[in-house]
This record gives sequence, C-alpha cells and structure tokens, in this order.
Amino acid sequence: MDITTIILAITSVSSPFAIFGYFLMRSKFKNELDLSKKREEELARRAYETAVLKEIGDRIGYSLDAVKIVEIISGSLGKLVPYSTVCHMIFDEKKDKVILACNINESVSSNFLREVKNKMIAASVEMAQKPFMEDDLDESISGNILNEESRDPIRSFFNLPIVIAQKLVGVINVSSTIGDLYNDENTEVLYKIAKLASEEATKLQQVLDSEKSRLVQAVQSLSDGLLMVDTKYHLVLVNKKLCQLLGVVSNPSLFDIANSLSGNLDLRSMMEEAIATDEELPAREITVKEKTLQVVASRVLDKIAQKPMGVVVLLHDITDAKSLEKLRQDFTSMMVHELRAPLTNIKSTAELLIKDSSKIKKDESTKYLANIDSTSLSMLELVNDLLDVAKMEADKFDVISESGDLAIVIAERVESFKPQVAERGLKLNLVVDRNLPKAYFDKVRIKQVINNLISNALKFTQAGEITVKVSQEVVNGNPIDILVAVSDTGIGIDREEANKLFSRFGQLVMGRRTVALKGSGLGLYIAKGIVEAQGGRIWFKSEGAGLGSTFYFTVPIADNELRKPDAHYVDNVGKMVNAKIN
Amino acid sequence: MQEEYRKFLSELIKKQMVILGPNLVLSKARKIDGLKIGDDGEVAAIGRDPLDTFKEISGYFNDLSGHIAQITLERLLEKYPGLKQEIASS
Repeated sequence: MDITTIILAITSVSSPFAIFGYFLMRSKFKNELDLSKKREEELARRAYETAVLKEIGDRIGYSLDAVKIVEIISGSLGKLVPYSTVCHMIFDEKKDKVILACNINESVSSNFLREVKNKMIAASVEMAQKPFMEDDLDESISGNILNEESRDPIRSFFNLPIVIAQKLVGVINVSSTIGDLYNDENTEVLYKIAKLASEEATKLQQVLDSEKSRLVQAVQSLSDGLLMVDTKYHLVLVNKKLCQLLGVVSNPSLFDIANSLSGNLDLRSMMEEAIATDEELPAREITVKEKTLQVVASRVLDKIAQKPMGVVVLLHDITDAKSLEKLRQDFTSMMVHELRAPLTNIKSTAELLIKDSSKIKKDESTKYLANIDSTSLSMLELVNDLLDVAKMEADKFDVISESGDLAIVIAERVESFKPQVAERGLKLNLVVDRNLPKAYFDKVRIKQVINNLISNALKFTQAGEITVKVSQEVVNGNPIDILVAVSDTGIGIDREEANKLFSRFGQLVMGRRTVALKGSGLGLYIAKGIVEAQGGRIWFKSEGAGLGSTFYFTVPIADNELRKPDAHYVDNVGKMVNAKIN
Repeated sequence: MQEEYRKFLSELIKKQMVILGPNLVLSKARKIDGLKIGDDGEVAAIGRDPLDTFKEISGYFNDLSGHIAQITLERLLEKYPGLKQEIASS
C-alpha cells in the first residue's frame, strides 16, 4: 500500500468525524453567540430601564401630586412597551370626582375605550371594595382619532395601581389590540417605577403628615379662634377655640360658622376683600353670644409662586379687655368727680373768706379754714391712694419691713379711731394674745392696712361692735405668723361680690353701697398689695348680707423667734389688751 | 386542605387578574413549579406543597402591587379561617 492509498483511507474514515466536529463546533459557537447576544440585549434593556427609571424619578421629584405621578408614568410607556391606548384614572376625594383620561396611540373604536373603562372600574371596585359612582366620572380623550370601523377588541392589557401612603390614588391601564403582548418580563420595569414613585411619595407624605399634625396641634391650642379657607373658599382648617367662641359644633361647615355670626359680619365679603388685597385689613369688632370679638382676615401667600393660597380669619376675644376699658373710663370719671366736689367746696369757702373777710367773725373763719383743711386732707388721701396704685402697677411699690411690735402699732391705730367710734355709738374692742412674737413688717404701710380695715368696718356698721383681734397663727403646734382679724356686725358681703372685693375696680363693679361713702375705693386693693409685699395673706369671711364680716391678714414672725413677755410690752399695751373702747 | 388551597388560590388569582390584568398575572403564576392554571384563572392542580405555592405566588403579587396585594389577600383570607391560621403560624 502506497502512501497515497494510506492517506486516502485515513481521509475517507476521518471525514465524517471532521464534518461532525465542524458542525459541533459551529453549534457551540452559535449557542455562545446567541447567549452573548441575549446577554447584550438584556444588558441594553437593563441600561434602558435604569435610564427611564432615573428620568421618571427626576421628573416626579418630590411630588405628592397623584395626577403628575400618573401622567409621568403614562407618558413614559411608549419607550417601554407597545400599546394602543393608555388611560389613567385619578380618585380625587376632595372634589368627589374620578378623572379618567385616555390617550389613543393607535386608532381604536369607542367600544374599545368603553371596554377599557369597564376594566378599570372593575379593578377599582376590587381594590377599594366599594361601589363606583359613574356620575362622578370626568372623562377626557387625547391623541389619535377614534376609528369606529375598527372591530378590534382588547386582546391584551394590564393595570398599574398607584398607591400613596397606603391609599389608592389612581390606576393606569395599558391596552392593545394585539394578543399576548404583555407579560411579567416586559412590564416588570413599570411596576418597579410605580413602586418607586409610590415609596418616595409615601415618605414625603409621612413627613408632611407629621408637620401637618404639629401645625394642627399648635393651631388647636391657640387661645384665639382661627379658620382657614382655600382660594375657592373651602374650609381647610378650623380650631376648637373658634367653635367655642361662636358656639358651633366641632368640625363645622363654613355655613355653620357664617350662620353663627347671626348677620353681625359678612364673612364671605371679608374673605374676598382679604384675598383681593395685599394690604393689611383693619380689624373689625363684632358682638356674638354676649362676647366682643375682634376679627382679622389676612391673605395667605404662597411665597414661591407669589400667589394667594387662601385666607386666615382670626377671632380674638376682647370681652374682658373691653369691660376693663369701660371700668377704667368709669373709674376715671369717678375719681374726677371725687376730686372735683372737694375742690369746689375749697374754692367756694376760700372765695367766701376773701369776699366777706371783714364781715366774718374770727371763730367762723376758723371753722371755714378747718373745713378747707379737712377737705384738702381727704383729697390728699385720695391722691395718695392713686399714687400707691400707680406704683403697684409699675412694680415700684416698696415696703421696708423690719422687726417690731405689731400689737403696739395696732393698739395705737385702734386708739386713734376712738373719737369716731364714740360719735357713732359703736363699740370697738381690741383683743391681743399675750406672748406675741415680734413681727416683720413696714411700720408705716401697716398703718394704712389697719386704718383701711377699721374705717371700712365703721363705714358699714350702723349698730353693734367692731373687734380687732391679734393672735398667733399656729399650724401643727408651730407658730407660723401673726393673724390680725377685724370683725364687725355690719351689712356683710354677698358671696357674688367676694372675688371683686380686692380688685382695683372692686368698688366700682359692686356699686357704691351708700352715697355717703366717699373715697377712692382702692383701700382694699392697696391693703392687699401691702400685706402681700410683706409676705402675708389677706382674706375675709362673711356669712352673707346683713350678717357682718371679718377681714383677716397675716404678718410674718420676725426670725421665727417667740417673743418673751417683758415689762415694756405690758406697760405700753397692757391697758389696751382685752380692753373695750367705747 | 389541598382542595381548600386550590379554591383559595383560584380566587386569589382571579382577583389579581381583575386588578392587574390576566396576561401579566397568568404569565407570573404559570412560572410557579407544579401550578396548573386555566385561562380563566381557575387552578387545576397545585402539584406540590400548597403553602409553598401560596408563599411564592403571594410574593409575586406583592412585588407587583404591594399594599393592594396585601389588602386583597387579607380580605380573602377572612373567608378561609383554617388557611389563615395555618399561614399565620407558618
């Protein structure tokens, strides 16, 4: 066998193997090529999806506007899947409306669109588990024109629910006349987009809800009534205080609020005026349910858009301020009168002395001068009272407390009232506990307190007696301060008047009980100021009108040291202790 | 229990077909090993442990519609107290 024959033999035997090997290699290369192509395609698809996702993410940004989110997703569909129509349904709870907008990409019939609508309604009912009101539907169509000759039904579709803060806000429907067009692979990216948008919007919603909750709490705790309306005059916010001031139910409608104003204020016109002007409107005063309210309406401006967002109406209760203002005016009138009467008296007496000085006898002129002296003294006391009150209100009322015998000061004061008491036919008793400790008080100011209480007792007691008692106030066996009580058998005090008694305009509120009673009416207010400035308390007890009254005040014990009985105390006060002064 | 699971899964798939559309739901569900589903969503056979099948399919639906899928599932489970208990304890 020559070499050629051998080669031919080998070639003929190995040829089938070579061919087989060739096809095997070719198939292997093809598979690898396909796989590589598929990988490339998959990679390109992923890159494309990522780009689209980013674009949508950027466009949605931090938006809570469901319409915007749904529109952006719908608008991006063409880049991802083929479709005949894309429709979206938005549930607008505020307006009780459902917006249905359809964009036609490939001409379809109105039957096709009707079918789309029915599928979206069925999906909404299934998701929300509540009936769908077709009357609330607001429909619009855009894109290609309808082709009524088309008989193509929906052959494939999918729905994309949009949920924000666990609430269904919309549904997107993508439909096609081509069958089996959509599957989990080619729609996956859309569900990812919807999920991403939903998550971002939910996070933002949670932040806004938390801020809103804080704002609502702040508004609810306001001491003024407040309401806010949007530019369409829909009530956005109303606080509890407003309901309380106007006597309306909680969560009222704007109609309830306007109605409660009982024609005192044209709320609508006021809000319209506020929204139309960038100037501050003057506050208005109205009286509703016996309350005087100051009403201010201000426009709320969107700082970025520079557009009005609504109007805030604030109701400030000025009833107390108004009555205080009236009291002030009445008080001023009263004081002017109190000063004018003695001044007139002084003037006419002085005129008489000047005109008829030659005719007036000396004892008569002395009487007239004594009258001028006594009248001017009353005026001086009145002016001093006013000055004291002014100092108290300006926080400039000083007491200079020092250690001393309170009983001696009280005994002196009691003694000074002796002639007046005798003149009125009353009894004035002084009862002082033995072994009283030294007290800590302002020796000048305390006289004002005692004078006021005894003179008040005298003014309001027609018969009977007045008793001044000085004792130690002991709590749990420990002396805590010195208690002074001034009791009378006079006209007493009504319970209703009790809280007005120590107020600045107390006498004015209560009404002057007798025309004959003169003075500023500020005595108890000043006495309270002095006692409290010394670190004591002042109060009264009365069983009621006609049953007398007792005024109490306390004075701190000096250094908490019990005073030992000594000769000096007994010598000076002894005569008055337990003595009755007629 | 197998039959109850079959009914429950059929109902769940049908509801999701209404919500998301049949093409997508069926293409997802038919990828589950052993699960045989008709075009109307009726489950013909589960083919393996029904609890595993349920977990797989509810995971798919959850990926697609999150909160909506969860609510739909919770509502449906109210009709199947036995399954609800088993699923909760698994």
